[in-house]
Amino acid sequence: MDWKHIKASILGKKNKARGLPCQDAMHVEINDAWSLAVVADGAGSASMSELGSREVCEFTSKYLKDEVLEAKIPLSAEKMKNCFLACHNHMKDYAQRRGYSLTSLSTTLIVAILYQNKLFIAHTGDGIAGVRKASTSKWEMAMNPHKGEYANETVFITMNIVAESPDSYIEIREYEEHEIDAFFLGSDGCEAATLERDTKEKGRKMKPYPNFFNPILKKLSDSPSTSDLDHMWSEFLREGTEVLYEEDDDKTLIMFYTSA
Amino acid sequence: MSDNIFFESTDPVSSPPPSNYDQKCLCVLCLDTSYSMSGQPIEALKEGVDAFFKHNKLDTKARRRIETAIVKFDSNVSWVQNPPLLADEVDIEGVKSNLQLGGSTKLVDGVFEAMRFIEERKAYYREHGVNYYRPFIILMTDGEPDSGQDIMGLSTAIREGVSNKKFTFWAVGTEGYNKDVLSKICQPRTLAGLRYAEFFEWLSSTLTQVSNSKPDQRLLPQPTDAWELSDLSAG
Repeated sequence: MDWKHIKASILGKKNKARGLPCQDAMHVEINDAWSLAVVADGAGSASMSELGSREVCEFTSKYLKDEVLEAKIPLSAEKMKNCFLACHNHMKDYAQRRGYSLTSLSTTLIVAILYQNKLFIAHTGDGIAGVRKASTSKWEMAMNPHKGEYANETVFITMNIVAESPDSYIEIREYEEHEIDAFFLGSDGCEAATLERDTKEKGRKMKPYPNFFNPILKKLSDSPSTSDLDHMWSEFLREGTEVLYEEDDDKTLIMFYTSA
Repeated sequence: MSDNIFFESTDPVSSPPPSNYDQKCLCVLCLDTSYSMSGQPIEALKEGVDAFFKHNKLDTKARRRIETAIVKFDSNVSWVQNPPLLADEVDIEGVKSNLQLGGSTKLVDGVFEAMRFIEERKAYYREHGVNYYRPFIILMTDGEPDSGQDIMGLSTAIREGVSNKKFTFWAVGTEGYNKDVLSKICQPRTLAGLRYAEFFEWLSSTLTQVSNSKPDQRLLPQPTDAWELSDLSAG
Protein backbone atom coordinates (compact mmCIF):
# COMPACT_ATOMS: atom_id res chain seq x y z
CA MET A 1 0.00 0.00 0.00
CA ASP A 2 1.12 3.50 -0.75
CA TRP A 3 1.49 5.18 2.63
CA LYS A 4 2.20 8.88 3.12
CA HIS A 5 2.67 10.76 6.32
CA ILE A 6 2.80 14.17 7.95
CA LYS A 7 4.67 14.92 11.14
CA ALA A 8 5.41 17.79 13.51
CA SER A 9 6.68 18.28 17.02
CA ILE A 10 6.39 21.76 18.50
CA LEU A 11 7.49 23.54 21.65
CA GLY A 12 4.54 24.43 23.88
CA LYS A 13 3.85 27.92 25.18
CA LYS A 14 4.50 26.89 28.77
CA ASN A 15 8.00 25.54 28.18
CA LYS A 16 8.76 28.44 25.86
CA ALA A 17 7.84 30.96 28.57
CA ARG A 18 10.14 29.20 31.00
CA GLY A 19 12.99 29.12 28.49
CA LEU A 20 12.84 25.32 28.35
CA PRO A 21 13.29 23.22 25.21
CA CYS A 22 10.59 21.02 23.69
CA GLN A 23 10.41 17.89 25.86
CA ASP A 24 8.67 15.86 23.16
CA ALA A 25 10.79 13.97 20.65
CA MET A 26 9.89 12.03 17.51
CA HIS A 27 11.55 9.94 14.84
CA VAL A 28 10.06 8.90 11.50
CA GLU A 29 11.80 6.76 8.92
CA ILE A 30 10.27 5.15 5.84
CA ASN A 31 11.42 3.10 2.88
CA ASP A 32 9.86 0.59 0.52
CA ALA A 33 10.00 -2.26 3.02
CA TRP A 34 8.89 -0.62 6.24
CA SER A 35 7.80 2.54 8.03
CA LEU A 36 8.77 3.38 11.57
CA ALA A 37 7.43 6.20 13.78
CA VAL A 38 8.35 6.91 17.39
CA VAL A 39 7.01 9.55 19.79
CA ALA A 40 8.36 10.21 23.29
CA ASP A 41 7.01 12.80 25.73
CA GLY A 42 9.45 13.86 28.43
CA ALA A 43 7.91 14.54 31.86
CA GLY A 44 7.35 18.21 32.64
CA SER A 45 8.63 17.70 36.18
CA ALA A 46 11.85 15.94 35.16
CA SER A 47 14.86 18.21 34.82
CA MET A 48 16.40 16.55 31.75
CA SER A 49 13.39 14.92 30.18
CA GLU A 50 14.23 16.39 26.76
CA LEU A 51 17.39 14.27 26.83
CA GLY A 52 15.34 11.28 27.97
CA SER A 53 12.76 11.61 25.20
CA ARG A 54 15.43 12.06 22.50
CA GLU A 55 17.44 9.12 23.77
CA VAL A 56 14.49 6.69 23.85
CA CYS A 57 13.53 7.73 20.31
CA GLU A 58 17.04 7.12 19.02
CA PHE A 59 17.55 3.90 20.92
CA THR A 60 14.18 2.40 19.98
CA SER A 61 14.58 3.24 16.31
CA LYS A 62 18.08 1.79 16.13
CA TYR A 63 17.09 -1.32 18.10
CA LEU A 64 14.12 -2.07 15.85
CA LYS A 65 16.12 -1.50 12.68
CA ASP A 66 19.04 -3.66 13.84
CA GLU A 67 17.04 -6.46 15.41
CA VAL A 68 14.00 -6.63 13.14
CA LEU A 69 13.57 -4.37 10.13
CA GLU A 70 16.97 -4.47 8.47
CA ALA A 71 17.56 -8.03 9.62
CA LYS A 72 14.26 -8.84 7.85
CA ILE A 73 13.08 -10.83 10.83
CA PRO A 74 9.30 -10.97 11.38
CA LEU A 75 8.04 -8.68 14.11
CA SER A 76 5.94 -10.08 16.94
CA ALA A 77 4.40 -8.72 20.12
CA GLU A 78 7.13 -10.53 22.04
CA LYS A 79 9.88 -8.80 20.05
CA MET A 80 8.19 -5.46 20.56
CA LYS A 81 8.02 -6.07 24.30
CA ASN A 82 11.72 -6.96 24.29
CA CYS A 83 12.42 -3.68 22.50
CA PHE A 84 10.66 -1.71 25.25
CA LEU A 85 12.48 -3.65 27.98
CA ALA A 86 15.80 -3.10 26.20
CA CYS A 87 14.96 0.61 26.04
CA HIS A 88 14.23 0.65 29.78
CA ASN A 89 17.56 -1.07 30.50
CA HIS A 90 19.39 1.22 28.11
CA MET A 91 18.04 4.29 29.92
CA LYS A 92 19.26 2.88 33.23
CA ASP A 93 22.77 2.46 31.77
CA TYR A 94 22.58 5.84 30.07
CA ALA A 95 21.67 7.57 33.35
CA GLN A 96 24.34 5.70 35.29
CA ARG A 97 27.10 6.38 32.76
CA ARG A 98 26.39 10.10 32.85
CA GLY A 99 25.67 10.36 36.55
CA TYR A 100 22.04 11.42 36.02
CA SER A 101 19.14 10.21 38.10
CA LEU A 102 16.83 7.97 36.12
CA THR A 103 13.84 10.08 37.25
CA SER A 104 15.35 13.20 35.70
CA LEU A 105 15.08 11.48 32.28
CA SER A 106 11.42 10.39 32.70
CA THR A 107 9.63 9.97 29.38
CA THR A 108 6.78 8.08 27.76
CA LEU A 109 7.18 6.04 24.54
CA ILE A 110 4.90 5.21 21.60
CA VAL A 111 6.04 3.19 18.57
CA ALA A 112 4.25 2.41 15.29
CA ILE A 113 5.66 0.08 12.63
CA LEU A 114 4.30 -0.87 9.22
CA TYR A 115 6.16 -3.99 8.21
CA GLN A 116 5.42 -7.22 6.34
CA ASN A 117 1.71 -6.41 5.89
CA LYS A 118 1.18 -5.69 9.57
CA LEU A 119 0.83 -2.56 11.64
CA PHE A 120 2.14 -2.71 15.21
CA ILE A 121 1.41 0.05 17.72
CA ALA A 122 2.96 -0.18 21.19
CA HIS A 123 3.28 2.22 24.08
CA THR A 124 4.21 2.87 27.70
CA GLY A 125 2.66 5.89 29.44
CA ASP A 126 0.16 8.37 28.09
CA GLY A 127 -0.29 10.02 24.71
CA ILE A 128 -2.54 9.21 21.78
CA ALA A 129 -2.69 6.62 19.00
CA GLY A 130 -5.57 5.55 16.79
CA VAL A 131 -6.40 3.75 13.56
CA ARG A 132 -9.10 4.19 10.92
CA LYS A 133 -10.67 0.98 9.67
CA ALA A 134 -10.62 0.88 5.87
CA SER A 135 -13.90 -1.03 5.58
CA THR A 136 -16.02 1.30 7.72
CA SER A 137 -13.97 4.54 7.81
CA LYS A 138 -14.50 4.45 11.59
CA TRP A 139 -11.76 5.56 13.96
CA GLU A 140 -10.78 3.64 17.05
CA MET A 141 -8.15 3.98 19.74
CA ALA A 142 -4.96 1.98 19.20
CA MET A 143 -3.80 2.40 22.79
CA ASN A 144 -5.19 2.73 26.25
CA PRO A 145 -3.06 5.40 27.91
CA HIS A 146 -1.55 4.48 31.25
CA LYS A 147 -2.89 7.07 33.63
CA GLY A 148 -2.98 7.28 37.35
CA GLU A 149 -6.35 7.95 38.86
CA TYR A 150 -5.79 11.64 38.40
CA ALA A 151 -5.21 13.67 35.27
CA ASN A 152 -1.68 14.70 36.20
CA GLU A 153 -0.24 11.22 36.76
CA THR A 154 1.22 8.70 34.30
CA VAL A 155 3.84 5.95 33.84
CA PHE A 156 7.26 6.40 32.21
CA ILE A 157 9.44 3.91 30.34
CA THR A 158 12.19 4.81 32.80
CA MET A 159 10.18 3.49 35.79
CA ASN A 160 11.10 0.18 37.38
CA ILE A 161 7.47 -0.97 37.35
CA VAL A 162 7.72 -1.29 33.55
CA ALA A 163 10.40 -3.97 33.87
CA GLU A 164 8.67 -5.56 36.85
CA SER A 165 5.24 -5.79 35.19
CA PRO A 166 5.81 -5.48 31.44
CA ASP A 167 2.42 -6.97 30.60
CA SER A 168 0.72 -4.20 32.57
CA TYR A 169 2.78 -1.29 31.28
CA ILE A 170 3.76 -2.19 27.73
CA GLU A 171 0.65 -2.37 25.57
CA ILE A 172 1.03 -3.80 22.06
CA ARG A 173 -1.63 -3.91 19.35
CA GLU A 174 -1.35 -5.63 15.99
CA TYR A 175 -3.41 -4.98 12.85
CA GLU A 176 -3.46 -6.35 9.31
CA GLU A 177 -2.15 -3.54 7.16
CA HIS A 178 -4.93 -3.85 4.57
CA GLU A 179 -7.59 -3.32 7.26
CA ILE A 180 -6.29 0.17 8.07
CA ASP A 181 -6.29 3.23 5.82
CA ALA A 182 -4.97 5.81 8.31
CA PHE A 183 -3.39 5.93 11.75
CA PHE A 184 -1.82 8.47 14.07
CA LEU A 185 0.37 8.68 17.14
CA GLY A 186 1.19 11.69 19.27
CA SER A 187 1.95 13.19 22.65
CA ASP A 188 -0.69 13.99 25.26
CA GLY A 189 -0.50 17.68 24.36
CA CYS A 190 -2.69 16.72 21.39
CA GLU A 191 -5.15 14.67 23.42
CA ALA A 192 -7.69 17.41 24.12
CA ALA A 193 -7.96 18.44 20.47
CA THR A 194 -8.08 14.97 18.96
CA LEU A 195 -10.10 12.72 21.28
CA GLU A 196 -13.72 12.93 22.36
CA ARG A 197 -15.76 11.49 25.20
CA ASP A 198 -19.43 10.84 24.92
CA THR A 199 -21.10 11.37 28.27
CA LYS A 200 -24.56 10.71 26.88
CA GLU A 201 -23.89 7.03 26.66
CA LYS A 202 -22.59 5.00 29.59
CA GLY A 203 -19.43 2.96 29.35
CA ARG A 204 -18.11 4.72 26.28
CA LYS A 205 -14.55 5.82 26.73
CA MET A 206 -12.59 8.30 24.70
CA LYS A 207 -12.13 7.77 20.99
CA PRO A 208 -10.53 9.64 18.12
CA TYR A 209 -12.59 12.68 17.19
CA PRO A 210 -13.64 12.19 13.55
CA ASN A 211 -14.33 15.91 13.08
CA PHE A 212 -10.66 16.53 13.75
CA PHE A 213 -9.11 13.80 11.61
CA ASN A 214 -11.46 13.34 8.66
CA PRO A 215 -11.39 16.91 7.31
CA ILE A 216 -7.59 16.81 7.46
CA LEU A 217 -7.43 13.52 5.58
CA LYS A 218 -9.83 14.86 2.99
CA LYS A 219 -7.71 17.96 2.55
CA LEU A 220 -4.61 15.81 2.15
CA SER A 221 -6.22 13.65 -0.50
CA ASP A 222 -7.64 16.70 -2.34
CA SER A 223 -4.41 18.67 -2.33
CA PRO A 224 -1.62 18.20 -4.79
CA SER A 225 1.45 16.92 -3.04
CA THR A 226 3.60 19.66 -1.65
CA SER A 227 6.95 19.54 0.05
CA ASP A 228 5.81 21.97 2.68
CA LEU A 229 3.25 19.77 4.40
CA ASP A 230 5.22 19.25 7.60
CA HIS A 231 5.73 22.98 8.02
CA MET A 232 2.00 23.58 7.53
CA TRP A 233 1.26 20.77 9.95
CA SER A 234 3.43 22.29 12.65
CA GLU A 235 1.72 25.68 12.19
CA PHE A 236 -1.59 23.90 12.43
CA LEU A 237 -0.62 22.11 15.65
CA ARG A 238 0.36 25.46 17.11
CA GLU A 239 -2.96 27.20 16.57
CA GLY A 240 -5.12 25.40 14.02
CA THR A 241 -8.12 24.85 16.27
CA GLU A 242 -9.36 26.57 19.40
CA VAL A 243 -8.25 23.67 21.55
CA LEU A 244 -4.81 23.37 19.95
CA TYR A 245 -4.33 27.10 20.39
CA GLU A 246 -5.23 26.98 24.07
CA GLU A 247 -3.09 23.94 24.80
CA ASP A 248 0.23 25.15 26.14
CA ASP A 249 1.97 21.76 26.40
CA ASP A 250 4.45 20.54 23.78
CA LYS A 251 2.57 18.90 20.90
CA THR A 252 3.68 16.08 18.61
CA LEU A 253 1.42 14.43 16.07
CA ILE A 254 2.35 12.02 13.29
CA MET A 255 -0.32 10.83 10.88
CA PHE A 256 -0.03 8.12 8.23
CA TYR A 257 -2.57 7.78 5.45
CA THR A 258 -2.94 5.87 2.23
CA SER A 259 -3.43 7.74 -0.97
CA ALA A 260 -6.68 6.76 -2.62
CA MET B 1 -1.82 31.29 7.01
CA SER B 2 -4.31 31.31 4.15
CA ASP B 3 -2.10 29.02 2.08
CA ASN B 4 -2.03 26.42 4.85
CA ILE B 5 -4.32 23.63 3.70
CA PHE B 6 -4.90 22.38 7.25
CA PHE B 7 -6.30 25.71 8.43
CA GLU B 8 -8.79 25.53 5.60
CA SER B 9 -9.87 22.10 6.77
CA THR B 10 -11.22 23.20 10.12
CA ASP B 11 -14.35 25.24 10.27
CA PRO B 12 -15.27 25.98 13.90
CA VAL B 13 -18.97 25.59 13.08
CA SER B 14 -18.81 22.19 11.42
CA SER B 15 -15.88 21.05 13.59
CA PRO B 16 -16.49 22.32 17.12
CA PRO B 17 -14.14 21.18 19.88
CA PRO B 18 -14.64 17.55 20.91
CA SER B 19 -17.13 17.07 23.71
CA ASN B 20 -15.85 16.91 27.30
CA TYR B 21 -12.22 16.97 26.26
CA ASP B 22 -11.16 18.81 29.40
CA GLN B 23 -10.10 17.16 32.62
CA LYS B 24 -12.17 18.19 35.59
CA CYS B 25 -11.03 19.68 38.88
CA LEU B 26 -13.84 19.17 41.41
CA CYS B 27 -14.04 21.37 44.49
CA VAL B 28 -16.66 20.77 47.17
CA LEU B 29 -17.22 23.70 49.52
CA CYS B 30 -18.59 22.45 52.81
CA LEU B 31 -19.91 25.55 54.58
CA ASP B 32 -21.16 26.17 58.09
CA THR B 33 -24.47 28.07 58.01
CA SER B 34 -25.39 27.73 61.67
CA TYR B 35 -27.02 30.74 63.39
CA SER B 36 -23.73 31.84 64.89
CA MET B 37 -22.71 32.91 61.38
CA SER B 38 -25.39 35.61 61.34
CA GLY B 39 -24.49 39.23 60.73
CA GLN B 40 -21.15 40.17 59.25
CA PRO B 41 -19.74 36.62 58.91
CA ILE B 42 -22.46 35.30 56.57
CA GLU B 43 -22.31 38.48 54.49
CA ALA B 44 -18.52 38.13 54.24
CA LEU B 45 -18.90 34.47 53.33
CA LYS B 46 -21.33 35.35 50.53
CA GLU B 47 -18.93 37.99 49.24
CA GLY B 48 -16.17 35.41 49.37
CA VAL B 49 -18.18 32.87 47.36
CA ASP B 50 -19.01 35.62 44.88
CA ALA B 51 -15.30 36.46 44.53
CA PHE B 52 -14.49 32.76 44.12
CA PHE B 53 -16.79 32.24 41.15
CA LYS B 54 -15.71 35.48 39.51
CA HIS B 55 -12.02 34.76 40.02
CA ASN B 56 -12.36 31.26 38.55
CA LYS B 57 -13.57 32.75 35.32
CA LEU B 58 -10.40 34.76 34.79
CA ASP B 59 -8.48 31.76 33.46
CA THR B 60 -9.76 30.15 30.25
CA LYS B 61 -8.84 26.62 31.20
CA ALA B 62 -9.89 26.94 34.82
CA ARG B 63 -13.36 28.10 33.86
CA ARG B 64 -13.83 24.95 31.81
CA ARG B 65 -12.16 22.57 34.22
CA ILE B 66 -13.17 23.61 37.74
CA GLU B 67 -16.44 22.13 38.92
CA THR B 68 -17.80 23.56 42.15
CA ALA B 69 -20.33 21.93 44.44
CA ILE B 70 -21.51 23.53 47.68
CA VAL B 71 -22.97 21.65 50.61
CA LYS B 72 -24.06 23.59 53.68
CA PHE B 73 -24.60 22.30 57.15
CA ASP B 74 -26.54 23.70 60.11
CA SER B 75 -29.31 21.66 61.78
CA ASN B 76 -29.51 19.87 58.44
CA VAL B 77 -27.24 19.09 55.54
CA SER B 78 -28.32 20.35 52.12
CA TRP B 79 -26.90 21.09 48.69
CA VAL B 80 -26.66 24.71 47.62
CA GLN B 81 -24.96 24.11 44.29
CA ASN B 82 -24.62 20.95 42.25
CA PRO B 83 -21.55 21.03 40.06
CA PRO B 84 -22.28 22.45 36.64
CA LEU B 85 -19.24 23.62 34.78
CA LEU B 86 -18.43 27.20 35.49
CA ALA B 87 -18.63 27.81 31.78
CA ASP B 88 -22.34 27.02 32.08
CA GLU B 89 -22.79 30.23 34.06
CA VAL B 90 -23.38 29.59 37.73
CA ASP B 91 -26.27 31.58 39.16
CA ILE B 92 -24.12 33.32 41.78
CA GLU B 93 -27.00 35.33 43.23
CA GLY B 94 -29.01 32.11 43.53
CA VAL B 95 -26.13 30.43 45.33
CA LYS B 96 -25.80 33.33 47.75
CA SER B 97 -29.50 33.43 48.52
CA ASN B 98 -29.42 29.69 49.21
CA LEU B 99 -26.82 30.22 51.93
CA GLN B 100 -29.54 30.75 54.53
CA LEU B 101 -28.81 30.29 58.17
CA GLY B 102 -30.50 27.67 60.30
CA GLY B 103 -29.80 26.20 63.70
CA SER B 104 -26.93 24.12 64.96
CA THR B 105 -23.76 22.59 63.45
CA LYS B 106 -24.03 19.15 61.84
CA LEU B 107 -20.45 19.52 60.66
CA VAL B 108 -19.62 15.81 60.69
CA ASP B 109 -22.65 14.92 58.56
CA GLY B 110 -21.80 17.74 56.17
CA VAL B 111 -18.25 16.54 55.56
CA PHE B 112 -19.35 12.92 55.18
CA GLU B 113 -21.88 14.08 52.57
CA ALA B 114 -19.09 15.91 50.70
CA MET B 115 -16.97 12.72 50.71
CA ARG B 116 -19.89 10.61 49.48
CA PHE B 117 -20.53 13.06 46.67
CA ILE B 118 -16.89 13.02 45.58
CA GLU B 119 -16.96 9.25 45.11
CA GLU B 120 -20.23 9.51 43.20
CA ARG B 121 -18.80 12.17 40.90
CA LYS B 122 -15.58 10.21 40.31
CA ALA B 123 -17.66 7.18 39.31
CA TYR B 124 -19.46 9.43 36.83
CA TYR B 125 -16.15 10.66 35.38
CA ARG B 126 -14.79 7.13 35.08
CA GLU B 127 -17.97 5.88 33.48
CA HIS B 128 -17.53 8.38 30.70
CA GLY B 129 -13.74 8.31 30.36
CA VAL B 130 -13.38 11.89 31.61
CA ASN B 131 -9.98 12.65 33.17
CA TYR B 132 -9.93 14.38 36.53
CA TYR B 133 -7.61 15.85 39.10
CA ARG B 134 -7.67 14.96 42.77
CA PRO B 135 -10.79 16.67 44.16
CA PHE B 136 -10.73 19.24 46.93
CA ILE B 137 -12.93 19.43 50.01
CA ILE B 138 -12.94 22.81 51.73
CA LEU B 139 -14.53 22.92 55.18
CA MET B 140 -15.34 26.30 56.73
CA THR B 141 -16.79 26.57 60.22
CA ASP B 142 -17.12 29.12 62.99
CA GLY B 143 -18.08 26.62 65.67
CA GLU B 144 -17.78 23.00 66.62
CA PRO B 145 -19.78 19.90 65.67
CA ASP B 146 -23.06 19.26 67.53
CA SER B 147 -22.61 16.88 70.44
CA GLY B 148 -23.21 13.25 69.62
CA GLN B 149 -21.59 13.48 66.17
CA ASP B 150 -18.92 10.95 65.27
CA ILE B 151 -15.86 13.19 65.49
CA MET B 152 -13.36 10.35 65.69
CA GLY B 153 -15.01 8.51 62.79
CA LEU B 154 -14.74 11.63 60.65
CA SER B 155 -11.14 12.16 61.69
CA THR B 156 -10.25 8.63 60.58
CA ALA B 157 -12.14 9.01 57.29
CA ILE B 158 -10.35 12.28 56.48
CA ARG B 159 -6.95 10.88 57.38
CA GLU B 160 -7.51 7.79 55.25
CA GLY B 161 -9.00 9.76 52.38
CA VAL B 162 -6.05 12.16 52.28
CA SER B 163 -3.37 9.47 52.65
CA ASN B 164 -5.03 7.34 49.95
CA LYS B 165 -5.13 10.44 47.71
CA LYS B 166 -8.91 10.28 47.45
CA PHE B 167 -9.12 14.02 47.97
CA THR B 168 -7.24 17.06 49.26
CA PHE B 169 -8.76 18.42 52.47
CA TRP B 170 -8.57 21.94 53.81
CA ALA B 171 -10.34 23.05 56.98
CA VAL B 172 -10.59 26.74 57.76
CA GLY B 173 -11.81 27.91 61.15
CA THR B 174 -13.38 31.34 61.27
CA GLU B 175 -13.82 33.67 64.19
CA GLY B 176 -15.17 31.83 67.22
CA TYR B 177 -14.42 28.28 66.04
CA ASN B 178 -13.30 25.71 68.56
CA LYS B 179 -9.74 24.96 67.53
CA ASP B 180 -9.31 22.20 70.11
CA VAL B 181 -12.30 20.25 68.81
CA LEU B 182 -11.57 20.88 65.12
CA SER B 183 -7.96 19.81 65.67
CA LYS B 184 -9.26 16.39 66.69
CA ILE B 185 -10.73 16.07 63.18
CA CYS B 186 -8.00 17.62 61.03
CA GLN B 187 -5.34 20.32 61.03
CA PRO B 188 -7.33 23.54 60.72
CA ARG B 189 -6.11 26.86 59.39
CA THR B 190 -7.48 30.00 60.99
CA LEU B 191 -9.02 32.77 58.94
CA ALA B 192 -7.81 36.22 59.95
CA GLY B 193 -10.88 38.31 60.80
CA LEU B 194 -13.41 38.41 57.98
CA ARG B 195 -10.97 37.77 55.15
CA TYR B 196 -13.32 35.41 53.33
CA ALA B 197 -12.77 37.16 50.01
CA GLU B 198 -8.99 36.81 50.35
CA PHE B 199 -9.37 33.15 51.23
CA PHE B 200 -11.61 32.41 48.25
CA GLU B 201 -9.31 34.25 45.86
CA TRP B 202 -6.46 32.13 47.18
CA LEU B 203 -8.57 29.00 46.69
CA SER B 204 -9.41 30.02 43.15
CA SER B 205 -5.72 30.62 42.37
CA THR B 206 -4.86 27.22 43.81
CA LEU B 207 -7.53 25.45 41.75
CA THR B 208 -6.48 27.40 38.65
CA GLN B 209 -2.91 26.23 39.17
CA VAL B 210 -4.01 22.60 39.62
CA SER B 211 -6.37 22.68 36.66
CA ASN B 212 -3.51 23.89 34.44
CA SER B 213 -1.04 21.28 35.67
CA LYS B 214 0.51 18.53 33.58
CA PRO B 215 1.34 14.88 34.25
CA ASP B 216 3.73 14.41 37.12
CA GLN B 217 3.98 18.12 37.77
CA ARG B 218 4.74 19.05 41.35
CA LEU B 219 3.00 22.19 42.50
CA LEU B 220 4.16 24.61 45.12
CA PRO B 221 1.31 25.72 47.39
CA GLN B 222 0.19 29.29 46.97
CA PRO B 223 1.15 31.51 49.94
CA THR B 224 -1.67 31.81 52.50
CA ASP B 225 -0.55 34.97 54.26
CA ALA B 226 -3.30 37.11 52.67
CA TRP B 227 -5.97 35.34 54.67
CA GLU B 228 -4.45 33.05 57.29
CA LEU B 229 -4.01 34.05 60.92
CA SER B 230 -0.57 32.74 61.72
CA ASP B 231 0.49 31.74 65.23
CA LEU B 232 2.86 34.71 65.27
CA SER B 233 0.19 37.24 64.43
CA ALA B 234 -2.16 35.59 66.91
CA GLY B 235 0.45 36.02 69.60
